[in-house]
Amino acid sequence: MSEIFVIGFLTAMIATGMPLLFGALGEVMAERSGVLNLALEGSMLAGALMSFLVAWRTNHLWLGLLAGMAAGIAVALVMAFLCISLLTNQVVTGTVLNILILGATNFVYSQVAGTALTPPHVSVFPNVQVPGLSNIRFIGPVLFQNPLLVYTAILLVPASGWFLYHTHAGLALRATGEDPRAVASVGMPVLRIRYFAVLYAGLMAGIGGAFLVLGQVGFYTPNVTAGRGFVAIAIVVFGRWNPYKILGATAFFGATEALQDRLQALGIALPAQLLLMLPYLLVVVALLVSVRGRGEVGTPAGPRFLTIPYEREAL
Amino acid sequence: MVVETQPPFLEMRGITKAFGGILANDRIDFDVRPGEVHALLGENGAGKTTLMEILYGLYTPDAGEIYVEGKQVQIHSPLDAMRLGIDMVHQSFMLIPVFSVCENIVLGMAGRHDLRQTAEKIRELSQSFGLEVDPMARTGDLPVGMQQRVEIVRALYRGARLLVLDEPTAVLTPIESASLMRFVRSMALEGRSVIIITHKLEEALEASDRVAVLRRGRKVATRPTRDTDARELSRLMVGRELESAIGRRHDEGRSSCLAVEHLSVRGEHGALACKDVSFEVRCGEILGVAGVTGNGQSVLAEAITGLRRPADGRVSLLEVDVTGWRPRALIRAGMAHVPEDRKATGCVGAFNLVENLILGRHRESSFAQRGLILRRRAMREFAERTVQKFDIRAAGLDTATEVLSGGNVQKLILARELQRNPKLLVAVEPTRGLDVGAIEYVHRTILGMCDRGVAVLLFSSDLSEVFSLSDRIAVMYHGRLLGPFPSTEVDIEGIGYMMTRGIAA
Repeated sequence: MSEIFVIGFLTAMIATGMPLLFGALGEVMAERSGVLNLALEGSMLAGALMSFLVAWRTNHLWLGLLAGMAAGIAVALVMAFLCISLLTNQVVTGTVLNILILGATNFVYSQVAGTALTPPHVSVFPNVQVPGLSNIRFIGPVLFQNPLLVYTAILLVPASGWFLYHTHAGLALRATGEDPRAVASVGMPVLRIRYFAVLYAGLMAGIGGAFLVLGQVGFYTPNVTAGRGFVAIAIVVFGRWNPYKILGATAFFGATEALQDRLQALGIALPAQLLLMLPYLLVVVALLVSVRGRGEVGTPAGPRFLTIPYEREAL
Repeated sequence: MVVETQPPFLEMRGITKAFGGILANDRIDFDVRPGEVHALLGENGAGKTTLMEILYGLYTPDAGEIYVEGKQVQIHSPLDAMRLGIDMVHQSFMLIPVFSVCENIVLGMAGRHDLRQTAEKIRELSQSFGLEVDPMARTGDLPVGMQQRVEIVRALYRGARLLVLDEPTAVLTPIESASLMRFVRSMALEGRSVIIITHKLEEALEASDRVAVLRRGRKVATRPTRDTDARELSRLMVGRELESAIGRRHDEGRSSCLAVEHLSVRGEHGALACKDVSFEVRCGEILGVAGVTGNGQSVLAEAITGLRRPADGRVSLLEVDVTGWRPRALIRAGMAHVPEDRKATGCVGAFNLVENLILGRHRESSFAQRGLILRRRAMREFAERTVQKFDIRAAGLDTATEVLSGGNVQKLILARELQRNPKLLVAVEPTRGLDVGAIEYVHRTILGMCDRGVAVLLFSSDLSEVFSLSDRIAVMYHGRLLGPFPSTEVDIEGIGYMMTRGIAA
């Protein structure tokens, strides 16, 4: 196999993996607090649209990124208010919010840009070369010639691990997902912890969505996320709610996605639709394998109180 | 010994709290002196736990004042309580099973903690109180008695000067209880105070300096322990005299009702939780199975009642092989079941009394036309009769079962099972968490069934219950069955020894 092919494959893997990694690193915090934030998909999609619109109108990529973050948080805030304060069912609420956001983004985009003959587009985040390392054979171009956001995401992995396992706040967060009553009994604010976690997930999904448009293609298409938020949620399960394993799971998914692209390009005699299914099929298989065995979380299905609302005076 | 003129460490005055119109606490005055062990005695629902949860900041009182060392304080959250040196060990433990002991102890404490240093401190602290725990152990792997220690050590680590223990011996073996009581005394000797919430008279009498008795939300009396006795306390607690110990006539030589042969059953994690168990229960006999919770009793009971498929062996009911039968077939064959978790397995919490009383019989022709359409009026009439006959106290037939007290839920389940005229009753922890009045009722009902020739298989971790009811007693230890022994040939100490060591003393 040629060097070009390998480098191309690895680069594609990182590109497809990045939005997923952002989403998954956010979602893991929400789930550790006991909230299954299905609205991650909505946060990501809203983040993608808003970042694109602001970047396009202001011609300022960083401003676009900020808008994407805000949009992600806004969706998460609705999710958090309904599920945490009003104790609604997390799965139903998340699902409905996602459908709502899909419709809303389609509407806004068609109003703003729908009439243009050529779809509007923006430039993408430039690659930043890491001095000294970017010339290493194979690894250099793949790992050290990327937009800043890619380095941020990679550094967030150990940062998240350190937060969860070596800080007090991390201990409290993990405890909240395992048993919020125990957390309340030692005098800590369960609801505030859950709010912070869900809003953080929204923020990260917003960045992931922004990266999807501003980091890769430079233009927006309706439903541009196409289920990537859900894949990020699956990656959290596959990664057993552990940031380091989540990095591995993201790499696995990114690789299958990149492989699928290459196979198509090589003209493999399989229908394209089948190849497109391949990454998702592998995720399903991976999930089947990964749910066996007890980890650091309370049940094979995740933190023990995942999806269970917490009511204060009902001890 | 407590100096009685000492000013109280804690004083609660006129505490009142209502839940949905029902007064859980009605103008309660309560005080605890430094170095005192104070028992808070009362039936379930008397308001003991509510009072203590107000003290611990989990509830805000509607009226009343709290003074700590003479100064009035406001306690809005457990954090406030802990700052004042007040800590509580809840009945259901507030621990994260997947965390290490150490992590559970530092949870919620301000400041940075170096886990290795903390572990060392925990080890020292727990040794000095005779409460050894391994700080690095995974909490969920520890037996219940150990988990309780973790809770207590956590309170000591946070510097508790007043420790509230909510029904602390409910989950302990006799030996563990004795060691807990030794700890309580040593804590009091240091000048710290302990409040023990309990509904067991012996416990209140054994461990305390003073006893406060609550009944229906009111404090009816406080007595120095040495000036009172079980008779007076039970009268104060229930409001009437209880019948004394229930007599039991022994009767042998009837035909076999339940026979279990070489039964092995897999538990939650796939390992054999019940190994090669054989025994027989004859008609009109009560076989008591004692054991520390988690030694395979639940799994054995589930296998017999059809909730779990045995891995090996045979179960016969009235000489018919019923191994692996489904619950519905077993019920038809004459089995009744009072399950361990009365609220989760015993009934449907959101259903009303009528629905729960006919649950499992809803296909019978008296309650359903052609087994399809429910006869609602017949159901109601049946429920009315049953509620009256079994003295189930509820606001009405349409009340959701989940709001009933534990005793009334248990009466409801017993009523439902009894109305079927069973041949065998499998009762698992039938009186756990019930108050004395309800316990007396359940015991009398079980004995009454037995007199009518029903065979009873009783699983209980309460040894005094096993001894007062059973004709023969067996012990479960690590999945194996020791015995059965005729109850006249063993004593509580001997059975207690077998429960913890697995061999006869």
